[in-house]
Amino acid sequence: MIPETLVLARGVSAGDDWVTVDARNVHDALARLKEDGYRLLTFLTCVDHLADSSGEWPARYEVVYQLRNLETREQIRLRAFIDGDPPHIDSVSDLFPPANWEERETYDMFGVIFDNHPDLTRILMPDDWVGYPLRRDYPVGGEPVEFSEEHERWQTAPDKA
Amino acid sequence: MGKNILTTTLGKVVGWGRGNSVWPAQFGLACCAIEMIATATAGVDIGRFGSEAFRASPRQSDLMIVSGRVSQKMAPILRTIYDQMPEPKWVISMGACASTGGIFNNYALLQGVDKIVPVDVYIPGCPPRPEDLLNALMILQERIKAQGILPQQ
Amino acid sequence: MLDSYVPVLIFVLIILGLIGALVTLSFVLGPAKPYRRKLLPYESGIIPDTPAMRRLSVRFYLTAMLFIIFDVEAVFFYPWAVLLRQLKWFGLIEMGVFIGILAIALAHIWRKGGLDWE
Repeated sequence: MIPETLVLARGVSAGDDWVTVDARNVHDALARLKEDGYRLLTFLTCVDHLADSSGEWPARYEVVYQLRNLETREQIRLRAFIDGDPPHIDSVSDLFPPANWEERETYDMFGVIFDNHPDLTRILMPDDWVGYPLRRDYPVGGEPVEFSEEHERWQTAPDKA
Repeated sequence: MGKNILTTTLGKVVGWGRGNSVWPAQFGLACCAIEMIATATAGVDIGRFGSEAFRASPRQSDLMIVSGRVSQKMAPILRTIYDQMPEPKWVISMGACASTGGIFNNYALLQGVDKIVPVDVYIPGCPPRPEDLLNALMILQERIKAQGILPQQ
Repeated sequence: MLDSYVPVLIFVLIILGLIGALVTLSFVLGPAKPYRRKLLPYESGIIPDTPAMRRLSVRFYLTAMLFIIFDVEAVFFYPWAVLLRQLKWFGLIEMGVFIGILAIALAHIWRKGGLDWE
């Protein structure tokens, strides 16, 4: 398990145990968990708390790692809060190979730079895309849609419907 | 006068031949592709309309059925495949996402494939039934038969 | 004796005529609008950036050459097998000499490693 000195907070959310660690200790904590048997990285993602003005979050970006122990069938969630423009955190792709692409996806969508990542490039959006789409201050995009209810002339006549 | 009769008869024959042997290119992108595959199955048989062979290469196909969402990353590839089809070629935009972007009105998807290729027939639906695709194919066949020797692109 | 081949000649002429007609019709009636994007080699829709010409291993050439030699040898067996009764001992010994020469060649190739793929 993670040494208590690294743990900043604990909790249970909808049946899932979570643990908050400092962003600089993420690599060590995950290495310890991997030694203890949590060998499967289920997912790695990020949450942008820009829109939440309640003040309960220590930083804007929260990187979340979900680990699973295949023998005991237990799961644990690791959270690390980071800030910055762009925010930096250590890459765990040397511990868990699937993290390679998941970190690329997190970089593509949120702009989080993973230090020591072998190849941090865009994976979902085109290579020359500007901006990080899943951030809260990124516009949804698309084009304005005109609905027929708002236009008198477009209403279908009752006998033709 | 004689030449006109010859060209119109020849045009009708050519149009009949072209219309009854439209070979689509395999261009299933998303969920509408499943309905396109279903159209090729025995219950709804698209083969009886002449489209028995869904060609894997655009070089051997006449028709591109854009079935599914077209993302920004896929758009140049779609345009290149359309360019690599030899004339005469037609495009059917199958489903709401290919026609207008569908329910995904956002940054990631092209809001309608007619922004990059000229479309002949649009099929609304999410996804449209296989019979809808056959209906669109029949409309396209009438259009092809009316075009004659030189199709106006 | 050549009369029996007249149907073959008619068949060949019909086929040539049919192919010629189809190709000519396609050339005349088919629209041709080539432009650079259309003439690019097809690579699933991307613009190709790796060259298509690559160095092939010499093993393919070796295998093809060995196949030709032993396949032609096998072709010689068939008429000999049909006429074996008429050729009697002479034919058997003659073919034995032929197979022997080629068997020495096969043994040499085997020892030199020509039959190994790697």
